[in-house]
Amino acid sequence: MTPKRMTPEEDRQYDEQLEVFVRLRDRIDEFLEQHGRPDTLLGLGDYSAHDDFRGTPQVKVSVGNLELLRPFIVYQLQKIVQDFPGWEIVYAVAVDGHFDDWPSMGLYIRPHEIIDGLQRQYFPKEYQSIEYAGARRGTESD
Amino acid sequence: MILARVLSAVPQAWPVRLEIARAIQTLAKQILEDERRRLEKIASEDCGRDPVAEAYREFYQKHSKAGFREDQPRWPKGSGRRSGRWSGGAGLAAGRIISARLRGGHHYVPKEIFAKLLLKSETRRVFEDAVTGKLAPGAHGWDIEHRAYNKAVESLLNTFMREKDITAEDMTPDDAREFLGMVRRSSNPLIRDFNQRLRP
Repeated sequence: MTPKRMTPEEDRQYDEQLEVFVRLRDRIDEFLEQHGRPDTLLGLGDYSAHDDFRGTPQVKVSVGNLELLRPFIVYQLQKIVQDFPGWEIVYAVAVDGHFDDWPSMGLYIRPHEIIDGLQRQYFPKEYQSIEYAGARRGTESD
Repeated sequence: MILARVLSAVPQAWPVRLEIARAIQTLAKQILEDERRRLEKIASEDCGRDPVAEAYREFYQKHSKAGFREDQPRWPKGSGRRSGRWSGGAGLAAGRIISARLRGGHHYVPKEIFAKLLLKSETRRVFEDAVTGKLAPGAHGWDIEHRAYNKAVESLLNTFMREKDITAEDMTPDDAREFLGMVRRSSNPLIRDFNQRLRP
């Protein structure tokens, strides 16, 4: 099926959104780099702030180190996204070695709320009690 | 007199004028992109004694090849990192934003995993340009596919470098093109299926 051609207006909006995406992604990356190592071509690190813009106001981050789920980090990410109204961070848990045996789970970090879809029963004990003040439980379809 | 004639030749209806303005914008974008490529080509070639080309090559190498931003902050003493080193985002020069803005989409070798490596600028450019273009719209979920793709590409690269007996820093543009071909033709479902799904 041939994809629908964008109108000039849609094209302009896409470019504007892409520019915001790049700025937000880079802010997230620079922050997380202070707390962990990014994935590189030389090996997996602790996280990856993905560069794929899909035309939606989201930045996806894959988290491979559960330390990056600590509340002070998540709150700081929420502060960052507060500078980008209408955008959200899709914070997905993707721990190497558990790609196949853990279900999809994560957080949506939005300027005004945190949606918590973590399935803590899969985590080692020290991460099972992590909570985010004011967060509401949710699912991937939130 | 001539100006009056020219002006009267432009349609007066606003929607038509708007369309013309947008067409000009699109053409200008293309011209700028062509110019960027031309300058980068100059930057990667031997410029002989052309002083303008030489100056551009020097500027490009200083600001792009080294992979740093002049304004990038450094780790302060006592921060737990090696003080004086770049504090993050190394390699994310202005060119990165320009390129992403002009192209967008999914990089076959994900940008987030090659951006911070010390690659030759011409090699980096090969990876930069290997992009799908605008992606089919869709929301991101909590799936592990992106990271599994990173891992699969990284593993493929390590095999590639081992067989060629090279490091990332040694990689030439031809090596990068060869590696890209392997990614595109890969039968590994983690790579193949992800690329197929994202293709616009």
